Amino acid sequence: MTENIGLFSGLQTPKKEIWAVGGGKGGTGKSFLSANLGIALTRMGKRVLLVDADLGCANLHTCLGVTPAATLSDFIQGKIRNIESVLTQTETPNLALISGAQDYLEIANPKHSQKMRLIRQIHELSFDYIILDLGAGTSFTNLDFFLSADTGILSVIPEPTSIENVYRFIKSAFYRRFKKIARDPDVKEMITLAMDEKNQRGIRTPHDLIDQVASMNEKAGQKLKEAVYTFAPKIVVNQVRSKDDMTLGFSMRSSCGKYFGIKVDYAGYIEYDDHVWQATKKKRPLLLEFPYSSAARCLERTVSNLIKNEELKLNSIVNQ
Amino acid sequence: MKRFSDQNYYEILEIPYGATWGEIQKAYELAKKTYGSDSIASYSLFDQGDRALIFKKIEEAYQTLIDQEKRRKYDEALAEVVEEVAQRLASSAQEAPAAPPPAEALSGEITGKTLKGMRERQGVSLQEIADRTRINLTYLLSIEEDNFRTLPAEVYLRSYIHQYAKMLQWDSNKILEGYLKTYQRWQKEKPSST
Repeated sequence: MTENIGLFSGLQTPKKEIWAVGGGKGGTGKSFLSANLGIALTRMGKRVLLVDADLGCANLHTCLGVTPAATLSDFIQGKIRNIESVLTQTETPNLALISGAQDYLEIANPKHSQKMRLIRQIHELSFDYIILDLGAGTSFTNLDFFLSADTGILSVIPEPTSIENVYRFIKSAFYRRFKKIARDPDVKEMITLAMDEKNQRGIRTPHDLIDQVASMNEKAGQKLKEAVYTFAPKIVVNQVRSKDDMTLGFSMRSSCGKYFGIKVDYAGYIEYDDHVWQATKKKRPLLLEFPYSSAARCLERTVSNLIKNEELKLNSIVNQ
Repeated sequence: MKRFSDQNYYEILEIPYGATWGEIQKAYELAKKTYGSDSIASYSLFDQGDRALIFKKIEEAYQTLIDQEKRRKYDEALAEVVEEVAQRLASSAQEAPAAPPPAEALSGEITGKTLKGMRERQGVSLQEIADRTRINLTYLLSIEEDNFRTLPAEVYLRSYIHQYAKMLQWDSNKILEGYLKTYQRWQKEKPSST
């Protein structure tokens, strides 16, 4: 069933978009979302590549029910020079997969240069949409993949631990971005300091940090302020069981705005649905196995919001 | 995006300026849910004090915007503020004559709350002052909230008050004198109060 394809090479796409699906905690449906968002996009006539960027615990191929011939390990180790040779076709037309590394432990933390080579080559591939499925946690690898995308999607479930981790992920990504922008070593040091919540400088929020940086170096402060405006991740709430769960995305959007000063979009929610685990058990994507389930409908609504860069409306939930 | 402490009522409730009664109502319900004591969405970002402050502002915003008469007045004030800021920014470029501060505020003790009220009437946000004077916003907040415990040593405080008043084109000596009276009274009372 599995074959390496050269089908996608050489085709020029007018506009390519890269999405990254992250969110800190494991078990919040990142791979589920990635796989099904990808399938939903192909149904809209898009050519899609899924990349399993969970280098330590890759399993996106299982969600799709394929056995990849080659994986990212081969690329990172240099066994395969061109990333196109790692592409695996899936049973869904126009949906290709780059499977994550599985066998070599050290691959989970690739060298910075290896990682950058990977990101660069992925960006050069010719697809309409490329979806990066990130691993759990706030490792630099995850944060860098997230920041390399055009759209960062955060997968959250309505539980305190998951929400905490999403905020932590936002904060880590945000500060990593700050640090990459900053040139002044004193400013860099202050950003490191701010990461520690019990810091002695009284930096509690990103607002405080920007103020302090601006008072040291006005230009650097201005740059950070600009970075705030362009950092706009999207939230997708998974496993929604009640109206309160549905409005959680709005509450998180509000909290992020008031705390981080960033605009987070609430792109959609996925209802809790037994069909999801039934599909997972069968190693089949939900959209292929149960295309008419309630979760599948939610996924389609979410994907439509994501490609149109729109948000859920509060009215659509409150008036239900 | 501004800090919540600098947000106006519309920003606090996250609604457009022309929001309808229904929109205000829904936004208020959501805001209460978001910043209430049992909310799972905000506890890990804001401590209890912050949440109480936000909650208070939400309540204020709602009570004002839901009342037609109060909202009309608030909207008028807001429009004036926008106008004033625009004018002030335009005139500050050409060194306009200083606007006289309200006389009643300049006799005797001046508290941070008075300063805040005067500043808000002029429509200048605290962020703006922080941006221009390079004074840390948390210090400015402490000054306005009479939060003396978190203020820096008096020598710095004097300089901050001076700059703050100057930026708002007030008589900085009088303001400083009045504020220091409040500050010194607090220092005297401090040992017995805790």
